[in-house]
Order: sequence, then structure tokens, then C-alpha cells
Amino acid sequence: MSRYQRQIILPQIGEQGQQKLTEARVLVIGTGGLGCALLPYLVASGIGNLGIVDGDRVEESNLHRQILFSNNSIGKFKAEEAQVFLNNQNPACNITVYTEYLTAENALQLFEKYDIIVDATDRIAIRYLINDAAVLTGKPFVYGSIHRFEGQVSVFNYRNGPTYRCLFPKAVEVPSCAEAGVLGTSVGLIGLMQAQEVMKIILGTENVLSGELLLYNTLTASQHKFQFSKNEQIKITHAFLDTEYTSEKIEPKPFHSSLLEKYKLIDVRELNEHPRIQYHNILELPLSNFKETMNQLDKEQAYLVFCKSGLRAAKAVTILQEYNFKNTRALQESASQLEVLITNSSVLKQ
Amino acid sequence: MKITLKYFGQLVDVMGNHEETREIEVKNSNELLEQMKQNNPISHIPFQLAINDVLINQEESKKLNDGDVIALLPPYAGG
Repeated sequence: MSRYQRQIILPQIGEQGQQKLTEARVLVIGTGGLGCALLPYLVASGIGNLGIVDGDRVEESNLHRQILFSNNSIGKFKAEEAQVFLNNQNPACNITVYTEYLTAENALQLFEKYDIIVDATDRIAIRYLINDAAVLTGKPFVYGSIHRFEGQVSVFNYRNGPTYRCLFPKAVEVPSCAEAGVLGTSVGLIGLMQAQEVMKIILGTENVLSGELLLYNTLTASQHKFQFSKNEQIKITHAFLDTEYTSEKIEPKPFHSSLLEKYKLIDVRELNEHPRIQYHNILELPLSNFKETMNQLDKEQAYLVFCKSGLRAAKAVTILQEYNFKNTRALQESASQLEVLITNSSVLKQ
Repeated sequence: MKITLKYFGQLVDVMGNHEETREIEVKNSNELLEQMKQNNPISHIPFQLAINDVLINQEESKKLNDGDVIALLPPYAGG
């Protein structure tokens, strides 16, 4: 155990604390600037089990702050690239990667497998989803976020404490790093503050940042803490999760031939599934390979997605929305029903 | 009475500084917010209000006292 000796001699840790780290299960959502900063420290400390969720791929504009990646990483899944780095750093840490985005469909199942959730994402909408899924599964979540040189850190739902909705009740998007700009060292500092809170929760030390919002200005080197309390009026239920994140976004649209003036059709069934629809303007992009082939799509174009039951179409729509496709809907009809509608529509016979 | 206003995030750009001390006529937090929104283009920015480092529920107006420090805290998204 000489690897961890320097931290074991701390009175707050000891052999017992090191055992807690070995047994800990931490889920990190997002491998951007925050994730890249906090992940190697969590792994180095001897945390035994780590999950990494990110459906995004490395871009050149990430490299100035996302320090787990190199030129060779461009185009590859961030979560997988991070795993390569971290496995090499400390093989004792058992790392599971999920190269998908967090959604209302997968969040609860994922959260159940871990003790602590770390929010290292860059979108407010996902933060509310993390919050609500953390509340429903009873997990604390460690929040960090940045606006230019100013970072916010807090721990929500810790021992039934206040949540993100108690701090910011309403969902409104605000500028991300891509829009506002960010320096790698600034986001790195905030990521490490999150890592420190993770350690405190695992070790059971006092003064976890629950009910407190820490603001750190990396330019003026000043910090400020604000107190907030639990809003008992806010109730998160499974039904709320379903309606808040699922139905609105992917409610299927009934087909009508006039829609084809504006929308292009995407068939996400596998290529060997029948019936194939005989219409000139259908893109065939099976869901099994969707993320690899979706780069031929145009973000400004409107798309209607269909499959057999609607399930895969809904998943494809979620993926497209994550990639900022503005106008994408699943179709209510199955491929078979659609075939009849298109065959019978005189407008479309050609 | 005199209060100190502290701005964070996007509000720093809109208000032009991090902090200012003002002489105000209004008596409570709701009136202050009304007045600030009338005089400054901040309505599109979501934020919470803290009085002397404690966040308040904006549905309940709080009485302001001389020397209060009011912080305007927007959510951040970057990561």
C-alpha cells in the first residue's frame, strides 16, 4: 500500500479511509474540462470503481483544456480516450465507460450502480436531469460549472439536503464554454474542487459543501460562499421525470404527405428489415451504426425518423437533439403503416 | 439607505462591474428587483438573490436594511 502511504498517514484518512476509497463507486458525467481535471485525481487516490458517461467525441477545440486527450484522440469517444489514459495511470481502478449521453431513459439505471454522481457536464438541461435522477435514486451529486473565469461548486442531495432545484428552480439555458469562452486552468481548478468534495463525501469528513454554493473567481483569486436551504415544496417523482424529459422532446408526430415538403425521412431500422419503403427521399441510417453515419445529416434540415415500434426512432431523435439538430421528430407510424400511407398518396407516386 | 450590490457571471458584463454601493429608496427585495430590471437590460438573465450571503426565495419579498450586501447569482453552464 506504499502507493497511498502519503494520504493514509493523514488522520482523516488512515487505513480505514483508504478502504472506503477502494470500495467507492463514483459516476462522472461528462469528460470535458471539468471531467478531465477531476478524473485523474480520483483514479490516483485509489477509488475502486469509476463510471464515465459521455457520448461526445474529441474535437480539436477541446484540447486546450481537456488534458486527457491528445491530437490522436480527435474523432474518438472522449469516454474511451479517458479510459485509456486512466487505466494506464492506475490499473487498480475498475473503470466502466458509457459512450452515450445521459437521458431520462438510462439515468436511473446508471445511477443505481454508483454511490456518488459527479456533474461535469456543460448544459443546464442535463443538470436538471442529473438532479432529478439523483433525488429519485437517493445519491449525492457533486456540482461544478464555470462561466469564463468564475466557477460554482456545490453538493446537492447530500443526506437528503438541498438540491439544484432548491438553488435554481427554473430551467433556462445560459452560455456554455463554447459560447462564453474558457481558460483550461480555470475549469481545471473548479474540477479539482469537485474532486475534493467527492473525497470528503467518501471519507465522511465534515463540512461537505451541502446547502452552500461556492463561487470562486479564478481571475481575482477571490471566493465567496452562499447559504441556501431545502425547498420542501419541490417534489421529484418518477412521473415527473417521464413527462419533463421524455414526452415533450420525443412525442411522435403523425405522418401526413404534406410534411415531406419540409422534412426528410430517416429509416433507422437495420437494412435487412422489411418492408423497405419505396420513396426516393429516405435516408437509411440503422440505429446500430447511427452515430457513425449521422455526419452526412444537415443540422439545419428538418427530419422525421421512423422504425418498427417507434423505440429506435425515439432514441435516434434523442441523439440528434444532443447534437443540436433543431427540428427532428419521431413518426407515430411503423414502417409498415408508413409504406401504405406513402403508396396510397397520389402526390408521392412518381 | 446604502446597500452593496455584487454581480456574478453574465451580470458582470451587463452591469459593467463586480460590485457597487448604492443609495436606495426602496424598502424590500422585490422593489429593488423591479427597479433594477427597469433600469438595466437584465430581464433575459436568470438569477437568484442572496442577502448577506443567504439565498432568498424570490416569491417572498424581504425587507432590506442599511448596509445589506445583495448578491445577484446566475446559474453557470460551462464545463
